[in-house]
Parts: sequence; structure tokens; C-alpha cells
Amino acid sequence: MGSNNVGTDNTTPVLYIPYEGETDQDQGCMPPLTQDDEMLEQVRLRLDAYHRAWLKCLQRLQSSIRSQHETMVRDVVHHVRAAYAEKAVKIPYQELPVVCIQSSLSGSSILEDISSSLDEDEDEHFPAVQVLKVHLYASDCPNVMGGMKSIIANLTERLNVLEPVKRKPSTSSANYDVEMLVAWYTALSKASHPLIVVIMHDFEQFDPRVVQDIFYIFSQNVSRLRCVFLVSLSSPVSPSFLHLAYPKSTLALLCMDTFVAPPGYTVLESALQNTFFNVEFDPDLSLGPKTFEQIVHFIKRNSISQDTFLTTIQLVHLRHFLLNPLSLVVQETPSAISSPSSLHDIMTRRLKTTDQVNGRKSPTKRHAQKDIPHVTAINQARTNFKTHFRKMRLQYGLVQFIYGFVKSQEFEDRKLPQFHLTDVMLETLRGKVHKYIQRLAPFIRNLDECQFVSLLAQLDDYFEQPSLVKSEKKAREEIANFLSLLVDKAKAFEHIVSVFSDWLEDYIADLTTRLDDLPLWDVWYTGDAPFPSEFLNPSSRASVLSGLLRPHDYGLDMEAPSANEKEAEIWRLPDISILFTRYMESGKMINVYDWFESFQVALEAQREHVKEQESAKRNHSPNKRGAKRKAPSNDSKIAEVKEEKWKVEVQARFMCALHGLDYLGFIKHTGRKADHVLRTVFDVGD
Amino acid sequence: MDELATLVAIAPPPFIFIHDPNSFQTSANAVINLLDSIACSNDNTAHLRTVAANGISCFTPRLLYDRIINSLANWTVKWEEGCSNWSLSSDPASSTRRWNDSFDGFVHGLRALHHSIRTSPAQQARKKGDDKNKRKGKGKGKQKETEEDRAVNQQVRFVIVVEHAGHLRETMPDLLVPLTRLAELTQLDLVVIFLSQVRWEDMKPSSGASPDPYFIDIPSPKKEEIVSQLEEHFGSIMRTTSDFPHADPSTLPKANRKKNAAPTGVSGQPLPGPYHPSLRQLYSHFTSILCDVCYPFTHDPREIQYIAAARWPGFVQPVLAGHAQRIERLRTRLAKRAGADHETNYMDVDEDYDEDEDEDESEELRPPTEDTRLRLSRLFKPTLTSALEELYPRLANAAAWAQLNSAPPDPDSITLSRPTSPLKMGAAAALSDTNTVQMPVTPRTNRVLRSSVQNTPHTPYTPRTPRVTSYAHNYSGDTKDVTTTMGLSILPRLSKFILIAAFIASTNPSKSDIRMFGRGLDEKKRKRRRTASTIGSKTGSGPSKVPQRLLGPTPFPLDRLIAILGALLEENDISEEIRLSTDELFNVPGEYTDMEISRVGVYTTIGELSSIWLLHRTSPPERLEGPPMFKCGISYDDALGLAKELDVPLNDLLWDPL
Repeated sequence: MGSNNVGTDNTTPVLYIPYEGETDQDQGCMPPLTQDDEMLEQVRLRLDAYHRAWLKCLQRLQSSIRSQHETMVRDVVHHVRAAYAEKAVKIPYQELPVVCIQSSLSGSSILEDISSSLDEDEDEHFPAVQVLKVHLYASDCPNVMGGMKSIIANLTERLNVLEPVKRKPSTSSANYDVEMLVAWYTALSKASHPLIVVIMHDFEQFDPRVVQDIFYIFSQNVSRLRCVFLVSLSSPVSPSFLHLAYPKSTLALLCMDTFVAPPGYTVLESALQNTFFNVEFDPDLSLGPKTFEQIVHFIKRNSISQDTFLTTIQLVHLRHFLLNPLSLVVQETPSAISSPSSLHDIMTRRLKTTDQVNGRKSPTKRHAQKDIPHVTAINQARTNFKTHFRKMRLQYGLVQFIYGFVKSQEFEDRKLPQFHLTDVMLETLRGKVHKYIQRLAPFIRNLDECQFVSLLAQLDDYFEQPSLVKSEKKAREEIANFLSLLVDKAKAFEHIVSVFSDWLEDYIADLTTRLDDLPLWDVWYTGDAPFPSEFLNPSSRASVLSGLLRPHDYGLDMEAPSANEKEAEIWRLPDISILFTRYMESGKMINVYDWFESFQVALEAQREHVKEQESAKRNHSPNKRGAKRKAPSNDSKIAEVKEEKWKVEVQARFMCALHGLDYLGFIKHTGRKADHVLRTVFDVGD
Repeated sequence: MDELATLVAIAPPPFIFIHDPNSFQTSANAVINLLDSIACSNDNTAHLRTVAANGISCFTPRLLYDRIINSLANWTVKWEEGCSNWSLSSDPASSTRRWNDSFDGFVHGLRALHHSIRTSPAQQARKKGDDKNKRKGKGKGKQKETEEDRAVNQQVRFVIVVEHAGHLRETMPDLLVPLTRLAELTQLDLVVIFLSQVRWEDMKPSSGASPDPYFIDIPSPKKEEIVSQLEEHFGSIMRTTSDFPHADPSTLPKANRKKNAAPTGVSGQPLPGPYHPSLRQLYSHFTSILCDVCYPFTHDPREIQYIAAARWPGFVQPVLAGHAQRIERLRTRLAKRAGADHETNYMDVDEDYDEDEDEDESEELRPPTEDTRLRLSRLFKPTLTSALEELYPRLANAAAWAQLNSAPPDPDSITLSRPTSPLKMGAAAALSDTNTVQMPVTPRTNRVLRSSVQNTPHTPYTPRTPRVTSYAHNYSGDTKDVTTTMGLSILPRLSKFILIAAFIASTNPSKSDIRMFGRGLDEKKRKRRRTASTIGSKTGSGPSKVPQRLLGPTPFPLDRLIAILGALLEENDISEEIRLSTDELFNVPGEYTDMEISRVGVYTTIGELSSIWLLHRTSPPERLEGPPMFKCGISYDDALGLAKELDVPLNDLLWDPL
């Protein structure tokens, strides 16, 4: 899934969110399920709200990621355009220019950005060059012929830069022949000398044997075809993938230049900060500490990928808007007419609960509250939440600002502790950010006069951000006060710094807010809602084992036994589970015949029970009793045949179940001891 | 080469095989140039038509046929004509006859071409002449016309050269036999020349159906030959660049003209570049030193030429800088002299310079002296080793390397003491003070170049960090910096653990796993019953065993990797916080890790790591039975770096530690 398509509804991934019982906050708030139309209307409104919220968030995240790659993109575009410029070094043969883009952020949008920048003619150092781009993916290059065909067809047919000519496939050059491309380029070069840029996405996925031949073919024709290969790599710079996978003979043909993007983790960390912890940007939905922690943990530990990152945050949004009935009021409150009546019920109950819990309002006020339309109440709650949320972001912003300032200064005797931005963000959400400011305070006190003035000036600039000018007027006044104290030299410098440090500490501590104490907080905040990480990264082995051990938990069998009678009723299990239960009871090596016999015993018990049930049914039916009496002489023969059939059936069922286990990897064949197999799984905790 | 020339010109055998394992491309170019020159000469017994097809470029039979026939017919594929191939009819676009559908068609095509050349050479010549006039930038047009005129009634001989013939064995093995018997099949005067790095014994068809070729083995070039080739290269560049006195500046590229326009001499002439004729002698000296350094590692003249091209501009920079300074001083002096003329008292004013300087008022760049040469070579010799180390395995490209290792382009940064004699001016003075000249200083190294040792297939090849053109963040560009900030440390935490587990699995024998990682349920500490020190006592009895890390990584099944990963995660990854929080959920010790290692993320990461070659999958992906097998793709140093980062005691976990 391309990162650009994440926002559109057509490509929204389907997500199954299981019902996990009612959470505390939802209790008593869900409308009755019978009101189908209302429910549908509500869901529609919620999805609309989701779409708006997610799009806003996505655009911010993407622009933040893009801005971090901007410098590199500019450099690469400049380099590509200059690939065929005259060089001072006179090497004995002409090399094929290859530009490597090394980014640890897999699935990033760098190549798209470069591709779009190549179209713009804004390079002052080089004359306007027509750039013809071909995008190549690993699936386009199963072999040399496929790769060449793909490049040539893309250029000669799809770009429509030259009028197509009628050609006979049999008597003309093959459509994978580089001579055809050269002929096309020669015809094109009469007017100008365009630059062909072949962009190879996910270069590691290409077969090196194929690509080395393609490189060779183009390098042989580099004097006739101005072509640059742009390859994107997500592997580390050292050890270099290209040097590992390609022979020296191929590398010798290339003029390779490597551009390294900023580390993927830093990019994503900064995107999170710019989206959810920036004073100037107000996201519709803010992440709770648990969700935030899980997202950061997943990025750090499992995969640094832009796609995964964006999809994860999208899932958080989707989950929030699907599960929370009030989430449709995230951006704006629908008018009384358009909003479903069930919403009014919920609102009435929620507002009542809030009043009771907070106990803030007097009985008379509460009586008056009843008359206030819900719209106003919601609007009030929204404004209130936004104000507190901005305070929280300001708190983080200040800590980060002070840390950045202190880091840029030089301290001889003290060593500044290393802060991880994501940790600071997390502690801000938890309301425990003061510990960081406590660690920074000694450094502030140690500033000399010049540094202190610089800090005050920068802090004053920081508070000049549009969203803070009005709300933090007092803080600005305080800073101006400190500056005037310094100028007047009314008090000792150490004293001023110490007072400032205390003031700053208190000021930042005062900004601490518990967002989940605010009325209707769960509309704009995910709070302590758990993140469904189990669905992003499930443990397949555990699922298989629990499926085998408790098969009834996975089906809708109403007659399923309860957990207590599990041992007693092994016959109730499916064949493969019976076999697996015995497997768990055996030693390291299993004798297949013994296993079969134990399986047979279980099946016999199963058969007996089925017979009993049937006979019980027959006892109730008088007709069947009569039919049994009619053919007493054939009983023994029929019984014999049935027995034979049963034995074959048991054997077949055993083999089927055994192969099932074998396929799942529970059995290892020894090859030494006949009739014996090895166990592969031990000590499974129930 | 003389042998080949004689053979082709007089009576060639139908199939010649040229084997050159060392300097293949140089030989191939030489053969093609030789054949072209023979074709143009008048001494031949037959009219020669040559073609050079390439085993890699022609990856299907159709491409090979098209390439051979079109080139022999001197036919150029044109877009306006529908990219049609050569045909007998006057309008190729309307022709329906094709020569590329099968080998039969190809043989007929060759015969038809032969016939057409013999019967209507005049017409061919006329057509060819028209074509050549239309084409631009082909300097051979006139030459070929005369060749066509001469071809009347002469015997026509086709010479088909197939470069990289070894590839034909993989791409089209069925064609090998008919190609080697092409003369016999076509009944034409035709010679097929195979040029290959692979020996004929290794590529000949097993059926024995091909005739034995006429073998020509090209020995690896001697040092003197390489030096002379390099000097020839200097000459050719000298002729094409503006350094050559007769070069016309208008023929230069626009950018170059602009560049050269900036620094000029006293009379407005551009300052000499690194390929100035005066520097030729210095270049010979330089190439001989370079060959001394490079010859033990490579015999390929192209490679040495590549390194020379990268090093030469920096090497000659002090000389050019000295010259530029001299010109500057000369200019000042002339200005002073002009001022003095106005004052009419010339002799009294000029006291700043002595009489020696009066003697060298010419603007010409003088060849450097023997002393300068020696100083330059002493200063730059260590950098030649570093150039070889970086450029031969292409850790950097020549232009980038030259830019990074160039002497400061600004001559002002070179402190020139007042020369006592003309000898000391410029270069010599610049060289005398190495502290001020920021020469690339590379310590002399005695280590063996790992990546450049030839003919040692078992030598583990560890590519080092390649040069990076640009970083998005402000890294210093130092290789060490790259390794720590852009190396394996950028991988996610789980990937690092998997790589360490893979390294252990590839280095330790599988039997040792239970001893290294096994522990009881109740014990928290790992019990290692056997330590590495006990291994030493065994070495006395029998032949000494080569340590595994010298033998290269061994393959291991996926299950083993997962099991070792589990042990590592349990010991080194779970923090106390997680342990406490998961104790309520998981009763059995290690169950949390057990869940972790069977997660989908682990398998995805292993897949990703094998796609970027940090793990090598040794079993084919289409094999379903049995676990997939892998091999570790990182070196001991890399693994140790990762282990340090994750606090894993790697040396304790290795069966045979260093």
C-alpha cells in the first residue's frame, strides 16, 4: 500500500475488531440495538468525523516526514541533473551513473518526492533538461528480457514523447532490444537530449543476476543513451548491500553515488512530535499513554516502516471512532435536528454522570443545566479539552526547548543526561514530566549571564507563537520582568537565575493536566484504551497450540464442554485434538502404533456415546423398535461388516489427523527407528 | 595480436577462441580495434566485414542474430523506419522475410547478405554513403565509403566476434555448437572469434560436436606494458583537452569552457590543467610508482588506469598551484614594471626580485625537476595504497574520491616561502611545508587488502563501508561515523537480536547449544559446563582444527535460529518491569519469550533480513519439506558491535571465542 493512498477510503484496510465486552466508560451509554436507522445514521456521522480527523492527522504526518527529507531530495535532484556534466577526472571508460538513496525508513515517500521534484525545472546551475522517468519494481524484472521490455515499453509507448510508428514485430528489432531504445532516443535527440531516469523501488527485492545484466547492457550504450539509475535501498550503509550482492565486475561499470536519509526512527519520532506535541497544531484525536507507548515500542522493536507507522495510527483512529458513540462530535456538534435522538440519551446520561462524579455544580445549577442544550455543553467541553490539551503540548514544548538550549551550551563540570524525545512525550501524557525539568534545573542555575540572557530572549521568541501570544501573556510578562531585573542589576545575578529556575519549574509543573479528568474526555482522547497490538503482530504458534488444546473456544459449538470437564471427555474433541492430547502426554519419541491404539480407544468411546444417543432416540420412537425386530438373523453379518468399516474409518481418520500434525510441524521423522516419530513441541503451558 | 591480425587477413581458421582471464575488457577492445584497422587496410586478400556481438547484451538468440546481421550489413536501426532490421528489399519496412526466427533463418540471412554484398557493392556503397551523410557524429563515414568502393568483385569475409562468450553457455547452450560450425553451415568465408574469461574446456558442449578452436591465450600484461598504456592514455586526453596547445577551445563543452575561462595567465591564456604536455614526464614517473603499488593486486590495465585518473589531479595539484603562484607574481611584477616605466627609473624601483627571476618570465608550465618528483612521490605514495583500497572494490567512484583527496584548490592556502632559486618556486616550496598544505595523509598500512586478493574464492569477502556522497544530517563523513550511525545500529531491536542469534548459530556447532543455552526451570543462571579454555588441551593430539570463524558461516535451520533467539531474548531482553507485569499472565518461566519468538513479526523480520543479504537463505524457497536453512551474513566485528549495543556477552556464548 503506498503511503500516499492511506487516506483514501478505497484503500482503507479492512480491520476486524473483536467485541471485548463493555468497557467501563461505555456502560449504560450504548443505545438500544433495535434502532437500526438511528444506528446507521450515527455510524455514518462517526465515519465522516473519522475521515476528517484522520485526513488532518495524515496530512500533518506526511508533511512532517517530507520536510525532513527535503534537503536530501534537493541534493539528489541536483546530482541527477548533473550526472552527465563534464568531470575533471578522466577515467578510461564512461561509467553508468547510479544514484543510491539509502533510507532506513522502509516504504518511505522519498522516491515519490524525488520523482515529482525532477519534473520541476528550477535548477539554476543546469539548463532545463527534459527528464523521462521509468518506475521499475521487482515484479517487472523476473528476468533480463522482462526488465528490458518493461523499461523500453514504458519509455517508448507510455510516455508518448514521440509519435509511435508502425512496426512489424517479426522483421523489426525485438521490443526488448536496447537497439530499439537507442533508435528511439536518437530520433528524440534531434530536438533535445533528454535524461532517462530509471527509478528502481525496493532495490533489494530485485534479482541481482538480472539487474547486473541490465546494468551491463545500459553501460555498453551509455554514450548513446543518457540514462541514470536511481535505486532505493533500505539496508544499512555498512555492510553495503550493493557490495555484498553484486560482483566487482558490475560495480566497476557504475559511477555510484550514495545519499543517506536521516535515520528512520528519528524521522518518525519527529513526525509524532510535530503532530501530537506541537503547540501550533491541534489534532482532532490525541493519543493516550498506552497507545503511544505501544506505537513507539512497535517502531523501535519490530519495524521502522512509514507504511506500518501510518497504518497503525490510522487503526487507532478507526478503532476510536468505531467504538466510541460520542466520537461524532469530535470536530463539531451536529445540530439537534440532524443528530440522532439516541445521542441525546447518551449525552444526558454522560453529563449527569460527570456532574455526579465531579460534584462541582450545586443542585440549582444542575437544574439549570438541564435546560442548556447539549450542543452548548459539548462545545464547552470541547473548548475546555482543547485548552488543557494545548497546555500539555506547551509543557512538552517547553521541556524540549530547555533541553535543546542546555544541550547547545557547554558545561565543563556537568554532563547533560541524554533524553529520548519519545520518553519525554510519554511522561507528558502520564503527567510526570516534572522529573525531566528537575534534572534540567541545575543546568539552568549554572548558566552564566550571557547564556541566561540568550535563554530569556529565545524563550520570549518561543512565546511569540500565535497560539501562545494571548494565553501565555503572564509568562511573557514574567520573562520581561527577569530581563529588566538583569538590566537594572537590582539583585545579584545568581539570585535572579535561581528565582527564574524556580519560577520555570513551577510554571511547567502548573501546566500538568490529567486529560481523562475532563468532562467528555473520551471523545478527543484515547485515554488508557489498550492498543490492539496482538492483531498487528500475533503469535501464530501460541494460536495453533491453543486451537489444538481448546478447539471448542474457536467454534460456535453450543454443546462444547466447559473447562472443568475437559479431561473426562476427550472423545468430544476433534480427531486432531485427540491425537494432540495424547502427543502431549507421551515421551520424547512416540511409537505410532501405540499412538494409534490410544486414538482408537478415544474413538471407541466416541462411538459408544453416539450409539447411546442413537438408542436413546430410538427408545422414544416406537417405529424403529419394530424395525429392529424384523431382521434378527442378519445382525451378526451386518455387525461384522460395520466393524470392518469402522476399523478402516478409524485408520483413515488417524492418518488424516497425523498428517495434519505433521503439516503443522509437530512431528519429526527419525528415519532410524521404524514406527517412531519425534516430538518437536514440549512443555506447553495450558 | 600480430598472430591474430595475420590470420584474419590471410587465411583464418573458422573458429578462434581467445582466452583472457585478467584484462578481458582491454583485450576485447584491442581485438575489435585491430579488426577494424585490418578491415580498413588494403593488404587483405578479402573484403572484411566485422561485427562484435556481446554474450550479455544478446541474451536471446533473436538479439544475437539481429545484431550480427545488422552490423555485418552496416545497417542502423531507425525509429522512423519502424526499427526494421536489414532486409534484401529496398523498402525494409514492407519486407516480410525475417532472418531471426531460427538458426536456419540466420544462416540464410548470412548467405543472403553475403550474396547481396558481392552482387551489388556499388549500390551498397551508394546507399551506405547516403546513410552516413544522414548520420551525425560518425567519423568513419568517409573511410567506409572508400572501403565499399574497393569491395567490388573481391572475396567477402565475415568476422564475427562474440565477447563474453561464456555467457552463451547459460543463456543459449543450444547455439554453441552451430555457432562454432558457422563457416561449415553457411559455406561462406567466415570466422567466428570467441572472447572469454572462461576457458574453452569449461564451456564447450559436452557432446563433443564442436570443433576444437584455434586457441589464443593472452597472458596477463607486464608492468611495463601497463605503464606504456597509461602513457598512451595521457596522450589521448592531452590531445582532446584544452591543455594541448592546438586544441580548439570552441570544441570544448560549454561547461568546461566556462570553467577554464576563470583562471588565466598573464596574457589571458588559461592556466594549464593536469594533462598539460609539460607534465608528461611526471606522469610517467607517477604511473611507474602506481603500478608498483597496484601490480600485486590487479593486472587489469583498466583498473590501474581508473586509479591513476582519480589520483593524478591531486598528485599534480601542488605543481599547478606553484605555477599559478608564479604567474601571479609575474603579473604583479609586470604591473610594477609598467608603473616603473612611467616613473622612468626602472632599475631603482625594482629591488624586490633578484636576477634569477628575470630569467623565467615565460608563462609556460615547466616540467618539474627531479627533486620535485621525488618529493611528490614520497608524499603521495601512502595515498596510492588508500586509493587502491577504496577504488579497486569501488567503495567510492573516481570523481568523488578525487574530490575528497584533492589538495586545496586555492593556492593561497599553500604557504610559499620566498624561493631562493627558481627551483624552489611553486611545487618544491609547497612541498617543503607539509603542515600548511593539507595533503591527504593516510598512514602506511601493511595489512592485506581483503577485497582485492585475486583468485582466492574462499577468502571471506567483507565489504567495508562505501563512501557516501551526502548525508541528510550533519555527519562528519568519517567512515567510523558512518559505521556507528548508519550501520547495523539503525536496525530495529529485534533484527539486531536475530542477527546475533544467526551469528551464534552459524559459528557454534549445533551440539553445543544445549550446553551454551540450556538451563533448568528453577535456575535463573546459565550453566556453562564447558569453557573454551578446555578446547586448547585437545589440540596436541591430532591435526589442529581450523576455527569455525575462519571456515565461514555454516547453514542452520530456522528452528535453531528461533530457539537461540528465544534464549537470547530471555536472558538479555526482558526488563524487570516486563517480567513483573507479565508474571500474572504467564505462570511458566520463559512463557513470555516463548510467545515473543513465535510472533509473526519475527518471521517477517527474518524474511526482510534475508532480502537485504544480512542473512542468506541457503535452501530454495520453493522447497516445502523441512525447515528453511539460513546462513549468517554479518562478520564477527559487526556481531560484536551489535552485542555491545544490546549488552549481550557474545564471547561467552561462542563455542570457540577469539
